[in-house]
This record gives sequence, structure tokens and C-alpha cells, in this order.
Amino acid sequence: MKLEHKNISENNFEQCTKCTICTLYCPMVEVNPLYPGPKQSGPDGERYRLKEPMYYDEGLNYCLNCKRCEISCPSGVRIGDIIALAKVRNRKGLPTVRDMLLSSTVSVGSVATRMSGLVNRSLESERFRRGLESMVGIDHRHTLPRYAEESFEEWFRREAAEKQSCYSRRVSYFHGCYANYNDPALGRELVEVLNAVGYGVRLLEGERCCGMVKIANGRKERAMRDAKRNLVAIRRAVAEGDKVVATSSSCTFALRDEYQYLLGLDNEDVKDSITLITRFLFRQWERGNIKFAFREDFRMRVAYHSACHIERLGWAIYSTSLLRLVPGLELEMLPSRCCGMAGTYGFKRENYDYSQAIGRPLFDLIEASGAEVVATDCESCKWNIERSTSKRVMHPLSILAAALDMERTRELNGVMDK
Amino acid sequence: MRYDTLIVGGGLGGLVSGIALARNGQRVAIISAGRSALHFLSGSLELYADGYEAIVKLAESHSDHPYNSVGSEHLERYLGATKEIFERAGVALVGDHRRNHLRLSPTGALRPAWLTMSEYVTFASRGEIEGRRVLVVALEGYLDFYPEFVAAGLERCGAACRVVSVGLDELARLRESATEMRAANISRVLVGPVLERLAHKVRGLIEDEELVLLPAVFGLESSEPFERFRELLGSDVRVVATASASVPGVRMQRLLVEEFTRLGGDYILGDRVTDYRAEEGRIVALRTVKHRDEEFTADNFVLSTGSFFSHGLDSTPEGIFEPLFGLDISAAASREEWTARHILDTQPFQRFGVKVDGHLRPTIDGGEVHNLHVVGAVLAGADPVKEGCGAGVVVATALRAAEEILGHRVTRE
Amino acid sequence: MVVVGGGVTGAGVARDCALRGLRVLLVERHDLATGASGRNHGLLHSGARYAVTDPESAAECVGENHILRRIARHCVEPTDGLFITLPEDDLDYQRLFVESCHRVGIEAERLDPAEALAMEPAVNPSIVGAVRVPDASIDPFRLVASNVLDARLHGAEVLTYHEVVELLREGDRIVGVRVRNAATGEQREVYCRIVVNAAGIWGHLIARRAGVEIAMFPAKGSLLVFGHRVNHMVINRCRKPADADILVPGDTISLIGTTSKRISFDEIDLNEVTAEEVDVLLREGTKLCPSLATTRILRAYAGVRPLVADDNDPLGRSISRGIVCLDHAERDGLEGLVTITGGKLMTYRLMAERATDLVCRKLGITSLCTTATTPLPGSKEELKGASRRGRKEFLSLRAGEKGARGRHGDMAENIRFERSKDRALVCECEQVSVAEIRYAIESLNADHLVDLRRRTRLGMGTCQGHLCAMRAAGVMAEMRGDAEGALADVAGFIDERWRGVRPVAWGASLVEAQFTQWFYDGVCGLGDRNNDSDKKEE
Repeated sequence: MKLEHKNISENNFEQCTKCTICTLYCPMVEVNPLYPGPKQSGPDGERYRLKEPMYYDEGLNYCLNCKRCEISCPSGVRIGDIIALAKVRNRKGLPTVRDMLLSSTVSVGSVATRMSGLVNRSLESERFRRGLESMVGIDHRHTLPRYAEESFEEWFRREAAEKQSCYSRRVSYFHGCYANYNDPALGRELVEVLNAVGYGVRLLEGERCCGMVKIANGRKERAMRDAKRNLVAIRRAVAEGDKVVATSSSCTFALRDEYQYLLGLDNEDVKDSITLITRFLFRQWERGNIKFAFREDFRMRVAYHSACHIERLGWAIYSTSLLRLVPGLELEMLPSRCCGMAGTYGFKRENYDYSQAIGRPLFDLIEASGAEVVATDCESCKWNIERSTSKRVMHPLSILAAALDMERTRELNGVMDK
Repeated sequence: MRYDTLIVGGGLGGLVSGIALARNGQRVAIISAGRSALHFLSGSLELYADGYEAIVKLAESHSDHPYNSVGSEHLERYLGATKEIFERAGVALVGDHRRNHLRLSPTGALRPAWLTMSEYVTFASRGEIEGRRVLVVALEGYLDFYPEFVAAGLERCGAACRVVSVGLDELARLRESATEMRAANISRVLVGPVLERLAHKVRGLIEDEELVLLPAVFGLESSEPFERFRELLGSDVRVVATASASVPGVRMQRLLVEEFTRLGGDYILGDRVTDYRAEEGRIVALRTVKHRDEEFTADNFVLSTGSFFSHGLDSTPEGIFEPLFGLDISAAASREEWTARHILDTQPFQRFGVKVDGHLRPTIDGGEVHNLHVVGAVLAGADPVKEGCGAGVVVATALRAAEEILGHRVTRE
Repeated sequence: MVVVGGGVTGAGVARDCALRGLRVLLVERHDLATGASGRNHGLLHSGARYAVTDPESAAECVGENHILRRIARHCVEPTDGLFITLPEDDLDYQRLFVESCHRVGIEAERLDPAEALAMEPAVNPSIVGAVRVPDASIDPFRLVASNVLDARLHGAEVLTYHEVVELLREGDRIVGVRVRNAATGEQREVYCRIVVNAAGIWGHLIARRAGVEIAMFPAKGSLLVFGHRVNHMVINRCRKPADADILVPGDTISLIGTTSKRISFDEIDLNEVTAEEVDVLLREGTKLCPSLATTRILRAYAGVRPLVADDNDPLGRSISRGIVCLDHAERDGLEGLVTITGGKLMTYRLMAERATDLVCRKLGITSLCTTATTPLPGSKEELKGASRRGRKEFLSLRAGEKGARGRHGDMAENIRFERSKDRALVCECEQVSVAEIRYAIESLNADHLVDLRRRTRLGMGTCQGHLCAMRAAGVMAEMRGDAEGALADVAGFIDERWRGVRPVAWGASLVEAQFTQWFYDGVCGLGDRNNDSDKKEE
């Protein structure tokens, strides 16, 4: 062992200097005194759990996994990961029906899109939701996202797949469950924009759920299975020269970081090839590889909400830089705060009130802002902000798609008409 | 990503430089590995415990003190402009660099200060305290404020103090957590009707006291809650610094970041620079943990990474180093010479840091780096604790660096 | 009778004597467990370490090991231990070792390296052999405090921060002691029929004050404290005992030690750890457990072993092994003085039994020793986790209550957690609550913050007191109404912590040190109290 490495701890929690900064930025601490806070749950508690696992504190289950503690830590302690892993270790027995339902995004989504009419009508009915609450514990006050009549994948295969080979450049798209089952329009916009700047799009072979919600719901084994399959698919695409772009910041974060830190998978070989669509587009634009032509009549006042996981990725600047390219778009930065939803967290009866209390200051800021549209890279923030405020919420890519003069953009990028 | 200037370190130095540059039209990004030491602000910025005159004398000593690197021809201008820079960001400060005032510490000591946030109690001199009647108000169950120590400190100077403790149901609720009754969480409760109830309770406790002191637990986002409280109370009320993270410090940080982003700057939090690319004595690009394959490029760079606490300096048993660029530093070689026997003695390590020239430019293995400027606590030559010069050095060097980069003055005449 | 010395031996003697109905006064010049009792590995030897070289000590250890597991449950963690053979060690020694263990009745089970690694993943993976023995860890602070508490419950009086400055003599008889109150300087005389000198290495000076000589050799041993539990079993080297060859998991941390160096009597109060000693400990420690190289070191400390010369050796050079119990009437013709010394932390009870037997014999008291079967306070019931119900109950406790239960055993019932503000944690690293601090001040002879550390674990965690010193002082100031005293204590406390941090002040520990000085000196201005406070103002 080389002496210069001494005391540069692999046991990352020991770099904690007990400064308490993380506790200042924990959204759960703000609203819930039963949560022991990131410092106590993370590095402090870890020492005791290492001494004896019975020192585990049930209050840890309140953690949102927003990772705002981590980005605040002056010593780079992976506080959120320590807590998430402790939760996984402590989990005993089978997950509840509710947690299975919420985290089985693919199974539920594929059934629900097939029966979307019935599912959406039911989800709109308060009686149905009350039933759901009493049966499984999904809070009835939460409107659940609507399911599309046709999944993105189905649309893509039917409408788009064939044409993709006529583009000289190509990327693979990790659409995630949300774009696939709930918001296929986002996927369609991605295809449209990428095509316009000269990129063909293809799907990964056998994409699975990224696993984020499974990890959060204590189904690590399932998450691991999905993750391994995803990595196989991603490796194949990368080997064929593709970058893998995603629209969801949480999926991107899972593929890049949660796989490595929470599941212990080695994804180093493909990490740099997994990227967020806004990052991909802005970098290509900055290098002059692609060009944008914007509609002259486009006007929009946008407030950007930096979702927890894009904050943790550190990548909000790509989305905002991209939005700033749009003439006629006035961009206002909302102070970076958690909206309280945290994936499936806010759906749960026991969390609903805390979740809404966390979001309240953000919702107030949004209402008070002069923006017509809130932009965010995260689908769960989108649901939550839309149902909690009067504003429309759009993915930055959707805004870009609306602002682009597609025809001229195609011309600029030398794309022949479809 | 391309910027005019990239600043590494998002604390006081990075923000002051960033604001000055952004205000002058530059496209600036600050990359900050976590939150800064501003979170532990005592409420005051310190300039030099021995006073401004002593800094002027310092110049004659030709020491490597950062004030000497700034140059006395610039220093007074920067110090004079500081209050206004903070004011524009929404931080009200009182004080004057030509004459230190006294702030009251959490243990009741009186320490010299340059600028203090306006809600804090300050005194022009010890004599001013004698004969004052003071009510010290503690909040029940809050462990980071020490009314007995504050009272004892004032009584040593001849004040008459009374300590009372106030409880509110809303505060008791915070105590459901064994750890999270912290200043920040109290400040989140102390708004609206709760603030009014607290004011009502405290008002009922005042007898003949002319000064009421409370812990600094008001207003994480703005000074409005404290102003409202003062209005409601109707007497002279001030706050005293608490232990652990400081609510007004968090607010100062927040307001400065908001000012910076309002001016168009990108504040990238929670990322760490891993390596850099240099060409012909100039830094060309930085890479970070989170952006990996994406380089950050700029014409100029500012290093404001702080001292050991913020990991601007690092150490192993073998030595002390500047971890980012491997800049040449001034530090004792043997670890036995880094520290002193008692924790409250002068600690040699406090003075360790990066060596710079008269333009705040460092060297790497003796080679000059032309477009990198080093500011703040990462600089060698100052002992912020024993000299009481922490913030003064940071602000002065940060403004100096901005002027070096811009090639013209940033302060108004 | 008067017992001199508030270490584990003195505490044990005081308890044994009190249980046998004697009127006892325990006098300690500092706090309890400030000497070697609080400055060791906290290892409950199985005896294996001595099996080859010193079978007599080994046999003592075996017996006491079994006893302490019963009577001091809340101080003992039955971790078991490994004796590992590294490629550079002689594997033949293992056979001798196992045979010697079996000969004195120590269970010693040979494991193949893979089994050992599965049992203790922290162990060096290059081991070529391992033996499992019933080693355990024992918390010496708790052990001393419980003995003192039980002594008090049986009528003993305790004077900490009182130094014995003179042994009162009438002819050839010691009739009492003169003690000086360390805080006030006041002196007073205490008369008794017998004085037991249980002052460890300082016993040499006590004896001299009585006019008799005991040849002692102070030997300094240094140890390092790591930030968390790296290993869960005690790890020893299977070879002749040497430097830095035991790694013990103790409460939340792991300890490597010790070095061994003869020092002079001038140095016995210094307890300084040198850079070379730190390097040796690290070098040897990483051989036992490679991950120590990347684990944060919290502090270094040293203690002084009271080695005693064998009375039978006219040259006074050979060291007596095991327990030394001297009746000075027999040995030096001086009545009324007994010295109990030598021995080990874990044979303290046996030492106390021997000393008390002697005292009783001299005083004509016939009651028998019961300490081998009477549990210490806190150790009456099986701890958490033994039963399913106990486990469930423990899991449901809040942090501060869990911490208290782990430290005080069933005595934690006396800690009042009813009010939410008493449940608040003062020390977040070690989960010490306001309630526990109050209990320690009220019931466990804690006068200063540093004493609170030994009674609880205040300030023993990652931040080494940075976060908790002021809070504890605040609680103390409120309870006692003495702000100035509490404030002086804060400076003393953080300085005591710094003494241990300083030898390992690099990396995260230097970060912590800077943070500590910023806050206590910079923000609080605590440094001003000590020096030049008026100079810098205005």
C-alpha cells in the first residue's frame, strides 16, 4: 500500500467533518421531524450500523433519495448513497403490493396502455382512487399520470423505424417508461428534432426499466436484473458507434451513477456514452456539428426547474444553455428546490402530506413567477408541478421542438426531406 | 462548455470575483464542490484584528501576506466598495474598514470586526456595554445557543443581564427529532403567526431591559422575518451568533448566488474539478467529475477553493499540496511542524497555502501560469484565526483578481 | 479503609471491600480511568496471547474472561478473535500456539484461510493460517464506572480530583492520608485502618510517600483509533507478542496497538505519541488489515504499563509477571499499607479479590469475595438482541436511547427520556443525549466535560468533540449555574481531544482541526480568554 494514499478514505462516509451543511438542504428535514436528517441517517448512523445493524433507524425510510445532501457536502460524502444502501440492507421480506405496483413500470405500463381508456377513466375517478388507497395505500389525492393509447415503442415501430436508416448519423434512444407509456409525444419530438439535425434514431434492443423506482422501493434484485439487461443493450449500441440519449434525467442518473454506486455494477466503459438529450444537442451545437433554425414568431416565458437528479448529475446547464439559444424565449431560473414527488414517493399515502409540504414553496414560487411554462427534465416533477400549480410544464426538448423551424433546420443540417 | 472566465470554488471569494466579472459583461461559471464555509459565518466579515492601520504597516514588512499581494494602492478602494457589492445582492452590512467594531461571540467574547450583518448586536467599544440592561432569550430545547455564556461575557464588561427561556409548541415539534432542531429549521418555523407569538411572548418577558438578544435564527432566505420581529417587539432587539451552521451565513451565500445567476452566471454546485489542460503557461480547459468527457474552456481561471476545510489544500502524512493544479505552495515539510501543541495556539497550518506573485498568479514547479489567479483562503501567508483577517483577504483578493482579468477597475470612483 | 487510585484496580478493590462490608473511601487525583485503565486496547483476552510465553497469566485470563462475560455484560462484546499467520510468519509457531492454548484450557480452533476470511472479511487476504479463540472487547471506562457505581451503592465514598499528598504515619503504621482538593487546593486528613495503594504506575510514588520502595518500570504503549469498526473480530498475529500486533473492535471504532517503550518516571504523565510510533502502528496494522491504510485515523494515545520488578531478584531487573500484591507489614515492617499492582485490565477483579482478601485477613474480617458472581450495575439482564422481543424493542428506540442502552445496560432505565428536549443528541457522532449527560453528571461522578467523555462517549466520535463540546458545556452551565466554569471546561475539553488528534493530523483530521480552530478560536474567541485578549480590540 502506497503511503501517499493513507487516510484518503475508501470508506467515504469518514470524510464527513460533521459540519451539518447537508441537513440545511434536506427537503425532508424541512417538513418532517421524524426523519433523522441526512447527517444522522448517513455518515453518523453508518458508524453505528457497522457496529451493530440493530442501530438502524426506521426513520430512514422517509429519505426521498433526492441527493441534495450530496451536492451540498463540502467533502464529497455520498450521503444519499449511504442512506439508500442502508435502506436496501435493512429491507426484509417481500415488498408490499403497492410498492410492487408502483415500481413495476413496464408490466403496469404495457397493460395500462392497452386498456388506456378504462385505466384513465378509473384513475380520474376519485372513488376508484379511494379504493386504491384503502387497498394498497396509494394516496387518493394524487392524480396518477394518464396512460397513452399507444406506447412510444409501438408508434416508433409503426411510423418511424424504417425511415431512420436514411440519416448519416445515428443515436440510440433510451426512452424510459414515462415516454413509452405516459408521454409518447416526448419521444416523437425527440425523433423529430434529432432527424431534423441529421440524426437517425434507433431503440435499444430490449430496453428495461432503468431500475430507479425499483431501488427506491427496495427491490434491489429486480433492479439489478433490469440493470444488467440494460447494460448489455447499451454496450451493444455503443459498440456499434452510438451514443445513448435519454429524455429523463432520473433514468440518465440511474444508468450512469446509481448502477455504479448502489448496484455496484461496473459501467465505466459506457458511462460517457450515456447522455441526456439536452446535453447531447447542446454539445453538438457548440461544436458546430448541428445547427438550429428557430421560428421567428416564437415567444415563451419559461421558468426552469432544476430537478433533483439533474442537479445531482450537474447537468442543468446543458438544458438551460439550450433554452437560452432560443430567440424569443425569456428564461427565469427557479431557485433549485425539490418538488416533493421523488418518483413514486409522493404517491404513497404515508408520504403524501410530506411530499406536498416539500413542494409548496416551489409551487408558490412558480405561481409568483411571470412564466407561462415551467421547463424541467424530470417526468415526476412534471406530473407533480402540473397538478399542483396552474402552469403548464414542458420538457426542454419539447420547448425546443416547438421553437424550431423544422424545415429550415433540416435544410441547415443538409437533411433531405423525409 | 465555453466561458470567458471559469471560477473554481463557490464560496465568498468565487462569488465576489464572479459577480464583479459578470457585472462587467463576462460569461462566467463557478464550479463549486459543495457548499462553502460561508455557512459558518459569525455574522461579521473580519478585516484585521489590529485594525486597518496595521495592514498599511504590513505593506512595509514585505511579507507574503495576501494583503501585500493585493497592494495598498488598491486595497482601500476594494474595502470601500465591499458594502455596496453586498447591498446590491440584498445583504445589509454595517461597519467601516477604517475602524473595527466589536461583535459578540457565541461564548460572550468580544471580537474585532469590519462589517457585520445588520441584525447582529455590535458595540463600538467595551465601554459602551457598561451599565446596559440586557435580556438574553434562549429557545427551549435548542442546543446551539448558550445564553449563560453570552450573559457572562456581557457581565464581565459591566452589563446587567437576565436570561430567560421561551418555548413554543411549533418549536417543540422540531424536537421530535433528536438532531434536527437546528438554527435553519427554527428559522423555517419562525414566520407568520408563529413569529408573532414569539414576539408576544418575548415582549411579556421584558422588564426594564433596553436590549434584547436572541440567537440568530431568523430568515434563511431574507432578512424580512427579523425585521418583522423587531417591529413586533418594539424594543431594541439583536441577534447573537449560534454554534454550527449560521442562518444569516446561509442567507448571505444564497443571496450572493442569486445575484451571480441574475447577472447571467452559471453556478455549478456539487461538482469537483479533476484535471486540467495547459498550453504554453496557460490553463486551457478543466475537466470535472460530473462532466467527464465535456471540457470547460475559458480565457481566464480563478482558483478560490479555500483552505483545508474546503479541500483547496490537502494533506497526507508526507506533505501538503494543492490538489487541483499542483501549484507551488508555502508549507512546512515535516508534519510535526504543521501543528502546535494546543488547539488554541497559533497553528502553523492556518498560514499554509499557494504562493503567488503581485498579480495573484501562482506557479507550477516554478513555471508561471499566466491566466490563473488565486484568491481567498487557499493563499499562503495569512492566519485568518489569529489575525482575524479571513473575509478581508478573500474579498480584497477576489476583487483584485477580477481587475487583473478585466484589465480595468471594477469599483466606482 | 482508603483506596488510592481510581483506575480499574482501585475501583475493583473499592467495590470488593464495600461488598464485604468495609467502610471505604476511594481517592483519585484526576478522574476515574485516566491512567493505564483508560489507555489500553480494551481487550478481553482469551489468554491465548500469553499461552506460549506465560501460561500463568494465560490461565488467569481464561478464568477472568469467563467471569467478566457474566458480571460485566454491558462492557463486554463477545467478538471472538483470530490469531493470523502471515506469509512472513512461521507457520510452525501455530502448532505450538494451539497446543499451549489447549494446555491452559483455552478453546483454540484452527481455521483455513478461506474460513477465516469469510468470518472476518477485514483480515489480510494473504494469510496462510488462522486460529479462532474466545477473545472479546471490553470497554474500560464503563468497567471502571460500574465498579465505582456499585461501590457507592454499597456505601463507599468517592473523591475524584483529590490527590494523596501524604500518608499519615504513626510509628511503623500508616494511619491515614492527607488529600488535596485539586480545584480548591484545600487539604484535609482522612484516618483509616488500612490504605490500599492501587495507583498503577503512580503506586511507586505513593509507596515512596509512605517511605517504602517498589521497583517499577514504566513502559509506554501507543495506540491508534480508527474512525469506525473496520473489523468485527479481534485480530492478532500468531507469533511471539510484538509491536502493533492486535487490532481490536471497540464500540464504534477499531484500535491498533501497541508499541512498547521503557520511559523514565519524569515522562509518565506526558503520554505523547511520536510520529515514528504512528508510522510503526500504521505499518504493522495494515499487515493485519489492509483497509486500515485508507481508513480515517481519529487519534493516537498512549498509556503507561506499571511493570513491577520481581522482589526475588536481588538485581531488580527481572519483571514480575502477573499480579503483585504486597503486604508492606510483612515486606517492609510497615503496618496499614497494602499495594496491589502488576496484572492487567482484565485481571482487575482477581487483583481486587487478592488485595481485599489480604485486607480482610489483616482486619480479621471473614466475609468472602462475591465479585465473581455478582453482576455489576448495568449488567443484570441480558442485553438487547438476545431475544426476539428484546430485539424488536431495541429497534424501536430512538438514537439517544439506543446509545444509552448500549453503554449503560440496564442502568439506562434510570435515564429520563420523557421530555423531548432530553432526547436531543448532544454528541451526534456517538448518540449521546441530553438525558444521558444529565444522568452522568448526577450519578456517575462526572465533574468536567472530559469526565463526561469517559462516562458516555461524548466527543469520542468522528468530529472529536467539535460539534458537542459547546452543547455539553451549555447543559452543564444550565445544570450547575456556573457559566465561567463550564466555559473553561470547553477549552480544556477540545484541547484534550486535540492532544490525540495532533499526532495524526493530516487528511480529514487536519480538515477537522481547522474547522475546530475556526469555530472555537475564530467565531467564539475562546483563544482570547487564554492570552492577549485586550490587545486586539478597537
